[in-house]
Amino acid sequence: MTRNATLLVAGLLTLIWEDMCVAQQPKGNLTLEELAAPNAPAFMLLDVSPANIESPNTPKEFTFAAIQSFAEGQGWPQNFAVQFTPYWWIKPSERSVYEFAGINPAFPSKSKPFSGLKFSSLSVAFVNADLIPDQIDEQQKILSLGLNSTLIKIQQRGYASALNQEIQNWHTAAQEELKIMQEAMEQEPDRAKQKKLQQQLNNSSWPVSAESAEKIRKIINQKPVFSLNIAGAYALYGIDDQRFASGRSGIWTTLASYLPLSKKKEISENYFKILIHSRYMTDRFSLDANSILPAESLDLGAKIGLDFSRFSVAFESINRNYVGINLISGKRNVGLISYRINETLYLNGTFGEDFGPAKKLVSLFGINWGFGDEKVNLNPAN
Amino acid sequence: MDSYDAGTGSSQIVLKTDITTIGLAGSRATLFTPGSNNSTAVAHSVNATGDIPPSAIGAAFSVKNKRMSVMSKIDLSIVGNLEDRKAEFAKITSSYTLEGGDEQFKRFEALDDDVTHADDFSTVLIFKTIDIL
Repeated sequence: MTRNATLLVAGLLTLIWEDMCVAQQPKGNLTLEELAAPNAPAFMLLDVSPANIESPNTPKEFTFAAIQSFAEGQGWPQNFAVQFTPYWWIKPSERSVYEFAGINPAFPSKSKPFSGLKFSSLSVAFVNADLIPDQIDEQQKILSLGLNSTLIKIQQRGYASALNQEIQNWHTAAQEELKIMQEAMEQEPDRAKQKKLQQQLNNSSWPVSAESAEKIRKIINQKPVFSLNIAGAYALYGIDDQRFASGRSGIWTTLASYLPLSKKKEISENYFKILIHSRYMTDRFSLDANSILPAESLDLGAKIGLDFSRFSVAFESINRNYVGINLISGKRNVGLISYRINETLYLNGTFGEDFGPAKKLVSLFGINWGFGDEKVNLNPAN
Repeated sequence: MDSYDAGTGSSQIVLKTDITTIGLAGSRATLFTPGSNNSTAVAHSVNATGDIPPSAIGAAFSVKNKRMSVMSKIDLSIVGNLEDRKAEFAKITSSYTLEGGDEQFKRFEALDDDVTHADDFSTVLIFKTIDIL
């Protein structure tokens, strides 16, 4: 059996083991990632994952999509989800890589820590779902509104100058490539053949600019020294044809700090990290024994750890508190280790005390398939 | 094909190009005579917005009967996954303005036929031509 096949079998066995362990965990388990400020809080609040999220570029597109959805839903859309950034509606011509990365070519060494604020995104969801846990099996018309914003993002030292320089390198390479492509296009008199040539040029390899673009992607994906994200959402339930009532609401905050462990000028892959998440949620229709009561929950979570290129180790703590209903508050204190076997395969371990009425120890090992290098986290609304 | 009446005067014809995208963009403009190999670069973008700032491309009488081409390359490989790149591709706009000739100010836009993209939407090319009359 080859080494890869052995690894695969070992991976499958650990996955089965992990599934068995997970199945034994108490309901209401919560991971730190679930507390992070979501990109689309309006959907997160309702626990829905719309298959199609509209991302209108203009108010006109939004209006058209909404009218169409209302018409198809005969008064109330069946499932209509929209996410957009109002800034781009007001200033669509401002869209550029510089705006997106929070830098200015006129001031190459300065980054803009508050640039994320203007890219605050709104999410809106119209759904039909039964979110009132009563005996009646009837869907409510639900409108959910959400906002996500990066209040501040302080990049690593040298971020702006390195990024501006590499973008300029890309532009210089692109000009050379354009010269070659443009001359070829101009010498082709037949429009149909010209279009075919343009397509071929598009799929051709242009290594100089491609290498530069890859460096730019890595610089943009550097972890920030400090960032603060907030998200909020509010859902309104249609109780019947005449009445609407407040349903759920939520506020998320995520505070992150990544300190590089190397002093070298190149992009660091090794960080000391601190992440703090909080989530406050209210639900006017929570089930407590046999009655429906308003309830609140406050989750606080923190993670502290070290990230190396292949290996990471961290300690994670989550504190969960309920108010208004008889659910047990709890804690989760676990240590986490992760080893990247290759670009898409991770070996993860979790050890410690999990949620539950009694102190419960967890010791999980599993293999996760994930994506390799992260690409720029482009919000669909952008 | 789009056209612009420059006239026969001596006033300068001014080109401006606007590209909107969060990808990396570069643009280059030339004047050439169709069927010949004489192509002259007349303007280009100065940074990765891909925009060509207002640039004089020549006196009206000297550019008459030539064809102007503006080619833009947009790199979306820095943008998320395939779906994100498709979404960004749909949001790309490019516009071109010419002024200074008999036709005064005239605005053009890239048509669908002027735009191609790589199979994985990592790069986009826009090739816009305008006949100067």
